[in-house]
Amino acid sequence: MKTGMLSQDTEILLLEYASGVLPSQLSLLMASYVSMSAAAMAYVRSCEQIGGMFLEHDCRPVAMQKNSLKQVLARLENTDQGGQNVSAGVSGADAFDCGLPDSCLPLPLRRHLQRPEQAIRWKKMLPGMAYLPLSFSDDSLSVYMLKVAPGIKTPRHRHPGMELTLVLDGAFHDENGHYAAGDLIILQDDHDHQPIADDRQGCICIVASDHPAHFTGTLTRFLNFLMR
Amino acid sequence: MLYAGDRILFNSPMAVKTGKTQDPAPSRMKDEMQGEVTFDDLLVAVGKTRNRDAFVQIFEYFAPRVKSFLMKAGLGPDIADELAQDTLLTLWQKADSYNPEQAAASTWIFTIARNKRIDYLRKQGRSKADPHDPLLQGVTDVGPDQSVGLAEERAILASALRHLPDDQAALIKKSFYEDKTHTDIAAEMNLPLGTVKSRIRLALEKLRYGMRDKEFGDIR
Repeated sequence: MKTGMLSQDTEILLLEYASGVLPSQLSLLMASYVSMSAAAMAYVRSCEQIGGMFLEHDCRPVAMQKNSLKQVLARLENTDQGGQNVSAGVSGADAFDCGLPDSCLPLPLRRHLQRPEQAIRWKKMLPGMAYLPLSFSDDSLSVYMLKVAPGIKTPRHRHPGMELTLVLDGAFHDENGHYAAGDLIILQDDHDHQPIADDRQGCICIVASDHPAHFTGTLTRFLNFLMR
Repeated sequence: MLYAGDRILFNSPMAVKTGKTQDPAPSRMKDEMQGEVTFDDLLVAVGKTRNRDAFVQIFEYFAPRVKSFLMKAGLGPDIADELAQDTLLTLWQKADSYNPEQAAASTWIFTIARNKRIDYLRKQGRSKADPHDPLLQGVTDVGPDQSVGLAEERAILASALRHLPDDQAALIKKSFYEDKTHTDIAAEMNLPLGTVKSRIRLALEKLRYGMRDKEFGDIR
């Protein structure tokens, strides 16, 4: 678990996560982040607490329909007689292999990877780089896992919109800093960068972006066609 | 049935009612100090003994507020009523996992109502959320180490909430009530995204730490 200060953009994303307005792709990434960061977890908890305060003290009550309470009470009987309505979450223990050790898969991500509609197929991008697209019912945002071998320089690229990166394992650095497991990196508005994977451990991350990356290096511009 | 016969569990069950007062937090703090019944206690009673009277009291206070909360997100009154019922039903079903040392009853109910909203909007195709959304699976559960000073924290929050400047209060309420990201909110209010973010963050900061009297400088 990481602790420490959260940036403004991180806090805003955590608030959006806690208030339930993020698209599911970002929600998955943020849930993974929250499970790796004590500070982020505490922040989300505060946000939910504030939400509860608003609910308890600020929402002007709107009268329920006449029979609502009676109906709910009747449904309580059924619930009690029908036994517990256990939620069908995917068990974390199910065996599956995505080619990565369990230690670098936060629970929300593991649950996602275990969904039947999620194919586990790593795609080679460049030597030393592979990605696994995460499937969602809507494709307005792309989210993928990225695996980069030790010391590999990823192609220089920029994003017309926002790019969120969560480091799951290993580390990388770019012009802006050095990032290790549990770090969330938020890039906005046309930021141009060239991440380089850690020399010893390489790097595994989840990346989400609202626009495809635009490769800006001389030799990698062809990727703009390939990745389309 | 377990709920039968335990009506005398609460010597003063009506004490939790905040009634018409605009500013119920102090009475709640008083409740806690005097050891009177809080919603947390009622929820524990629902979980432990399937106490129906406790459930009805929670329902009567929270269901109309959950309905209101859902209507603020743009849901019609009928569906909001139905989802408020569902919220309280889920509360009944899951109450045995409620731990008052980890969360206030209101926090717990908020997360259930929020999840009902996400779930409903997804089914309507109006939201990009999906049923496997980790948020719906309770990943924000915390360990007992987070629980220290919960009641105190809550009191600070309640007080900070009342002292928030109007513009900040409006923005932060929008964040919670409406199904909108901050980019949407900025566009709607015709404010730069950076301004919206810094105001909201400032408001959250004050709510979290109760820093109501501190001068924050030029935030705009």
